[in-house]
Amino acid sequence: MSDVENNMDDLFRRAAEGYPLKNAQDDWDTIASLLKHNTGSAGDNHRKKNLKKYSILLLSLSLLLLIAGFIANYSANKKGSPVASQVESKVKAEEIKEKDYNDVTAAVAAPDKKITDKQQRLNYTNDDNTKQDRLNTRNMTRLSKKRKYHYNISGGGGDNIASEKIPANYESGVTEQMFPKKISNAKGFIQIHHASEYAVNDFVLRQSISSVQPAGKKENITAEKKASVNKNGKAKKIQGIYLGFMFGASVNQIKTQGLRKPGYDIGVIAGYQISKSLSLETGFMYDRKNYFSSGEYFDMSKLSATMPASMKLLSMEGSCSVFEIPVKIKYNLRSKGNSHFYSTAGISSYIMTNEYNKYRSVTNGTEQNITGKYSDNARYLAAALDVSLGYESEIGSYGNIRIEPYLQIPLKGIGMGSLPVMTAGLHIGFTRPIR
Amino acid sequence: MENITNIIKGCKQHNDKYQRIIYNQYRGFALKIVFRYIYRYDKAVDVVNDGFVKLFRSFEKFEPGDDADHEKKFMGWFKRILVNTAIDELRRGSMLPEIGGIPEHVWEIKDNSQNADHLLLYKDLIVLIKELPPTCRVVFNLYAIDGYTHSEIADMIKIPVGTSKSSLSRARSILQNRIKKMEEEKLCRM
Repeated sequence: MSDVENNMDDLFRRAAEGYPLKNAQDDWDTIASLLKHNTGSAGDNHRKKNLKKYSILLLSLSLLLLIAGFIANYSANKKGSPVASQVESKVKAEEIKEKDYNDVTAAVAAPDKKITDKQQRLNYTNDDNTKQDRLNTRNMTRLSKKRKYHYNISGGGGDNIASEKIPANYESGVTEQMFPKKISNAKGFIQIHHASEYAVNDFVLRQSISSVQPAGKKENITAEKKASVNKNGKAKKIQGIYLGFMFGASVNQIKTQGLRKPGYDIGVIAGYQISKSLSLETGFMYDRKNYFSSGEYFDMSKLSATMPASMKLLSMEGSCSVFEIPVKIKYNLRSKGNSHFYSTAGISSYIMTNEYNKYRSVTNGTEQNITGKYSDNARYLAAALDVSLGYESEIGSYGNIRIEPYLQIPLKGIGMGSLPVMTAGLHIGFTRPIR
Repeated sequence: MENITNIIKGCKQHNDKYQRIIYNQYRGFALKIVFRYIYRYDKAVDVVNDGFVKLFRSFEKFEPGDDADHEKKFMGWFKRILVNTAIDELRRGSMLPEIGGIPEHVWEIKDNSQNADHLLLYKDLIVLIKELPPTCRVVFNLYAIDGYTHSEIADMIKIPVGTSKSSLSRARSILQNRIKKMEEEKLCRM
């Protein structure tokens, strides 16, 4: 027996001396730098390099988001955001209106004075207004029609306009000045007809430009800021809740050890639009995750009571179902028409409903496969950091559709082995404002 | 070619020219030692680099003595540094086993060599050692190949002497079984 052992040891000694191992690449620079700095080791250096790499990646991502946000804001300020341009155009409209008030008032006060159609028409095109101004004016007129503030002048030449109903909140001084009770001559009718049209527009304009009026007016700036006018002329409220659903496919990985079959997730989302760019989102998702790990990263502390003491874990393949509750901030990086490029950042908490693991282990030199099923509903608060970039587009009046590649960076381990599961995937979602 | 005595003197004076010579000359030797202990090739390379750093930092402590065979003494001393560094690395990973095969590109077998069969056998034997459970692997390497005693091993890897002995016996039994299997497979193929 002793001879056999000696022979075997001798054989292994010869093998150890003569085995054909490829030489390592020249890595003198690493050694020289370590010797120069007199700190750390090559392994530490490798780990530090990894840490540095991830830190730089995270920092770059944050910086990128910051720059993108800044550029988006800058370009919005430069070109004029929809709200800003509306306010600007309303200011212009106000100026024009004031000018035309004077003309029309003068015309009513002096009926003999001939006012041509050219003078009386509400012609904004001669001014330096943009198409947006004209569009706004048209929209506002349409709006007035919808609100039944349009005034029909009854009868042919010289009839009165007593049927007109001027809204109660309209400024009476101006109305009386511009709507005399009875005017019998044709000339007067023409003048009044134009004046009344003008008054309608004036009313609508006054309604709409209240945002640029000083405090003390009937509608204040804050109320106007909460609303913007979309191209259909409908008042569009920015703030508010939206609901929707989301689904997607994902791949999961533990410490860059490779990928297994993809998982999926599906669930509902809810959000609150705080401002035009910013919103807060949460949700309730059902996730299916599949992953793989070597024994090195699997924490045996939860399993030690149920497994043989001498068991060493070689590897495991696992899958689990979790309910995920994300809390995220969504920021629109760039908006174009009804579409937005956005980014989100937040944290996700998990409730693990079940877990199924296949272990490959060695017990007393014998390799064996063990399976384990667990359903302990473990909760993991703030288990992952979520970051994503996405594209969202309005689909008519139905709501918004979004496509969102995302990354979940583990903040803590989940499951029986406390495994740091990193997830990357693609979400497709639909949201609808509840206003 | 520089004389080993001069190289050692240069290294003691932290002369990077001589350090580089040592690195180039003993890189392969170091990797062969470490790779028996450390399962993954890339990790073994890191451990070798750590070993060289430790070597150059503590070169003043090396006493070549009066005998002419400086190189042999130096190699023994360096081997001890490498083994300790490898054990430190294993203990950092809690002596847990690693998985995955050893990629073929880490081996260097020349086709036309007359010793190709020997090399293949040696390669297979090293793979058998590497596939042992970590404690058995370390004890077998230290005792059977590197020539340490059980009490030294117990000190090095902080286990009782009895555990060292039982680990060695387990390692031998596993290796014998696997060698038998290997031979049976070879016979079947023939």
